[in-house]
Amino acid sequence: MVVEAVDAGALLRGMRAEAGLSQRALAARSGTSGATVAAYESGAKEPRLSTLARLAAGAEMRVELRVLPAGRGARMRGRRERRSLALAAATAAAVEHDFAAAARLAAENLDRASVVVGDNAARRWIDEWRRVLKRGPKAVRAALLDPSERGHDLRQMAPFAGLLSDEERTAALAAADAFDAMLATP
Amino acid sequence: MTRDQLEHVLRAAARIVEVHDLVVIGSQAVLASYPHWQLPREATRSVEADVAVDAELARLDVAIDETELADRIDGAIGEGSRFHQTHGTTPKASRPPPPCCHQDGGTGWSR
Repeated sequence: MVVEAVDAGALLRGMRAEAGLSQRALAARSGTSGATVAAYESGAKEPRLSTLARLAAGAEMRVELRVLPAGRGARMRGRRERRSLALAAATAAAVEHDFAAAARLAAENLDRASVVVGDNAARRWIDEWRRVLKRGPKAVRAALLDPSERGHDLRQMAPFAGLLSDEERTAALAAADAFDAMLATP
Repeated sequence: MTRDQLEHVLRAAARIVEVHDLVVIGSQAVLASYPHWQLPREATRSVEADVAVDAELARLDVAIDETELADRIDGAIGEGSRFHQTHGTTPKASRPPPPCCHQDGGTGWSR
């Protein structure tokens, strides 16, 4: 499991789900209380690194930290990624324009996806989108345009298929291609 | 994505560009060798299949622009499309990457 964002709560939730443990079970294996695990997961408390490592050990996992070059361009390798981001930007605009309609469509798509999708990791992305939707249009925009590896994975499971018309999709893709052409021009 | 879903994506893509030989690149290519029930569940996680049109392989006029064909697939049934919404799966089309020798031996695809 790889979590890009510096978010101990998301890391713990994912770790615990992967291990199939309740908060109380993980707490018991890690020498802490269920309430403390809940506080870490909700973001009410921030665990120390040593605590995080102990919780991971309780889930029979280990924590590996890496420091990598930052920058929005880190993940934007290639034309396909830029086209995908252009579609995401157009989708974000449509979501902000009529959030209620977009949220309804997303809920339907997520319900359908949860029937089709086979494994736990994909289900976690579905749950993550449900959480993002509850936080409103700004959170959706941030998720859709997240340039990190996590954002890339989240976009793959984005529940907004069918929100943009064919014309809007074509226009977004054309805009990405125009940007590419501009980059290629000396 | 299951093998049935991959086949469905490929049939739809083939109809759009009127090309019967498409190249599947990346992880979903394993579904051509093994049906999904013989694979770990992780192998069916992706809803996208990387698809390319190789003019030479498809015995097309090499003057045909492979990128343009890929864009037609993406435009019609790609990410966020009605096809994607209806079926839950979608192709991600591109021109075929140039083949290269993998450093560990064998043939791979360069990015």
